[in-house]
Amino acid sequence: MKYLGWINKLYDTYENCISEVGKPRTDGKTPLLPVAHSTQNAQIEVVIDIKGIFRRARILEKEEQVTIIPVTEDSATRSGKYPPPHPLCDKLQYVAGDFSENVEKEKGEDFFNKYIEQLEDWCSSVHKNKKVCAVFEYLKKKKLIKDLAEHKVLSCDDSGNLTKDIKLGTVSQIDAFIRFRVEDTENPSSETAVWLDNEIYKSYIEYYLNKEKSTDLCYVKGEGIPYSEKHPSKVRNSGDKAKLISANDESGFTYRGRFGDKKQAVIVSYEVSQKAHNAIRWLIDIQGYRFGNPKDGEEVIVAWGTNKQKVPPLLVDTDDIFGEEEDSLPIVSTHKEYAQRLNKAIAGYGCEIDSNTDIVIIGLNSATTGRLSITYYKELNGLDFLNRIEKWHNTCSWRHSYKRIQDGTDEKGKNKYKTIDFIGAPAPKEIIRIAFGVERNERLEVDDKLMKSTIERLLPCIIDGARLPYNIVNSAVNRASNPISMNSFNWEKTLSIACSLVKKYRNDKYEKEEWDMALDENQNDRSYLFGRLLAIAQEIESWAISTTGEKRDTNAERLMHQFKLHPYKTWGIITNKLRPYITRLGDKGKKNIELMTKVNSMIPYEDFISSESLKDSYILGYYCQRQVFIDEMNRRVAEKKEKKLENIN
Amino acid sequence: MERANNVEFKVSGRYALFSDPINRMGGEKVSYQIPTYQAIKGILESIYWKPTLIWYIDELRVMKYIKTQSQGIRPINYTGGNTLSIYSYLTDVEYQVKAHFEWNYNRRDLDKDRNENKHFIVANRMIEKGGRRDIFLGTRECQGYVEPCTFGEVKGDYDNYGEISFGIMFHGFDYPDEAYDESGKDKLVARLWYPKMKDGYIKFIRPDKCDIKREIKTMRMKEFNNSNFIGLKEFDEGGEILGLD
Repeated sequence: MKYLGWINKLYDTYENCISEVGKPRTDGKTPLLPVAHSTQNAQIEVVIDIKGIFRRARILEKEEQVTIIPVTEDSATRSGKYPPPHPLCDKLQYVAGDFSENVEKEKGEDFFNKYIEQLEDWCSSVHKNKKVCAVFEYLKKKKLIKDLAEHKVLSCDDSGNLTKDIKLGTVSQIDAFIRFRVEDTENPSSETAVWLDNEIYKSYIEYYLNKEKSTDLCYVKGEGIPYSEKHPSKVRNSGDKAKLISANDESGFTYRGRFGDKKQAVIVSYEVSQKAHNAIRWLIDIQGYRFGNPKDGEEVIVAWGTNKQKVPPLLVDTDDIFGEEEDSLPIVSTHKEYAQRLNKAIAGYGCEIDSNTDIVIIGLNSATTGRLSITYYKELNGLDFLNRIEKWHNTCSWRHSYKRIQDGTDEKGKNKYKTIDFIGAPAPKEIIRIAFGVERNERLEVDDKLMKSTIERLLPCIIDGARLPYNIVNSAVNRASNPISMNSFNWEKTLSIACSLVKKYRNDKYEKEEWDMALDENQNDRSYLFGRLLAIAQEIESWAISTTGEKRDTNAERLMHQFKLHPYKTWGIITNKLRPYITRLGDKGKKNIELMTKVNSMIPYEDFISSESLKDSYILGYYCQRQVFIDEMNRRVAEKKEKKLENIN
Repeated sequence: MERANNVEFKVSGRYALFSDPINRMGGEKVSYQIPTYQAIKGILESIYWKPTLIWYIDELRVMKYIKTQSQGIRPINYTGGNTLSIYSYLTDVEYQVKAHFEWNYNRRDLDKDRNENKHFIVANRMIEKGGRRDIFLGTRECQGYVEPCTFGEVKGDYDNYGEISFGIMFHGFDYPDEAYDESGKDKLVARLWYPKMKDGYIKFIRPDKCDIKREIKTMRMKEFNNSNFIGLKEFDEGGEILGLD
């Protein structure tokens, strides 16, 4: 087994995925970036020919703006008063030699001169590229803005100056970012877009890496190679300023003390830094989970195989894991069937993941805007990973009916949703919502900070097989014990997820499977039996209410929380209040009364009158007994429907 | 040296933080999975140390499963105010350590203090006491506890676990007063290495056997003289302990 640490693993992943570099993706996400490249949103595309003569230009739509651009170490992290230019595609101010003539009060010449000088250096090196040289030839003429204005891409006022207040999307036209296409009439089949051309990537990387760079011992590769003093940001999203590797505290004693400057503290080579950062960005983009607000310390979690293996989704409910293999399977009814199906689904990943596979899970978050921290990090062998995922879904499974999935669209083109039943583990997000959420506009919502910190606490339960934190279980049970505090949909969801958690918690504590989703008639656990009694009382009352068409909460629902704390005392109150309903039902209720007596007789007398509050397992008894009634009712409804059909035919 | 002068002890704590220098530089500290040579040497120096000798860590045994935990931290800035960080600690750690000392021949002024029996006995006595100075695992906030133990005894979580090889890691610093040859004179040098853990045991290589090195800066060895040290006279007369040969 090997344990390499995050930066090494990311570097390895990049090396293993080299075929993905610059390859456009079908899902519209950014591909794995080449070394010394970054992405930018461009607003204007200029087409020239191979001789550097302007052909046409257009304004880009929002969805096609993302552009891969070569960068230098300085330009990638540019900021300040005179930000250094990018090597090829850049803003108007840099690429247009006639910028200062056409824009009021804007100093442009310095920017252009630096830019063109840098481009000339590339175009006069041995690594030069024909198309890049064409761009250089054209821009040297300093007539870009004139051309763009002529072709009505940019708008000028009466005096020929560019107007500031015209916007291209979100940016002023003055700040537009330009990208180029070079059409080569001799090679009409060749790639015209300079930002997608593999040859240009290669040309730039070779040119850039062979420029004068000082070497030192890289703490990742253990060799003396060209090093990087500035490391990339934009790890979690394009607006992210936080860096994984930073050294900006020149005055304090973050790294100073034994060391005088940051170079003494540690050295990471340019190549390793680039590859590791490009890999993590790419991974987060294609398979990361995000929690919280991107503008305010977003928690990002991503799991991947270092050799591009497909990994089972990490932070979803079981239905989503099944959903990957085939749609709309009939819902399974027993745990055994469920376990078999889960096993099959997980085995589906087994063809790519084996004991030689390295799986890495990383969690990132920032406490301040400038620095990114690793909040969770784990390297696992593939089989361990699959086993743990399977174990989570197996031990945390219950029957849920809260999930809404998209189901076509209505006549107005709006998405329609339907609720589906599934057996399995709930998604971590939903666990947190029902345990700590507040009902707002009919939905349970949780504060971002709480969501992020709880996700971090749940991760080890999924990946390391750690025990569930009891306060989450407890909170879920308490909320499920209070049906009148939320709407019925949310309460049903809370109830079934609470059952999942109770089952999982006890399973881990006693290291055995002890609870099933089906009602266990022989279960003698005091709390479980009391839970069943409560469900029976509720059934009798709600049935009686429904015969007269009333709609209100039952006593059992109202007193549920009390019942959990003082079962004996509260049970007395509930049975007293039940009397009129029992009379109202008459013979119809007989079966349920008999059941109540039977369950009641299963509890030994001293357990029954004991003042001890109920354990969490009461919620399981309650759920299972309630489910029996629901299933019976559904069956009756289905029978009635069939009879009706028969009568019609 | 007449004898091996081996010492063995156990060190444990609720948290540990052996910072990976790559994350350390920005302040968001992330712990390595295993202690560095330098951290263990520091613990032993806290237990007992004299400039006369150099401690060499021979072997380390990881007793408990490696677990990590991240925590939000509010570090105080040197100039006042505070920042916010997230540190990743190791939790619930326990290590067994085997080490020995050798004379520091860079300290010619202390050659009269080279009485191995004295230092050996005091070192063991200090291990029994739990150390002379405070013990911490990697960083100050991770309080550690030292006890005597027999190296290799008691069941460990990594027994029969097989081999884990780690990537490149920091090993330790060569300080100028412990330079083992002319090349290390008046310099601070960082050493890197590729550790391996077999069934929980990590055999450290000797500092002079590390071949991945980086000179960090020039540094002078500290001189002890009458202006900064009042105990010099003690070393004039051999520092014998009566009743021992």
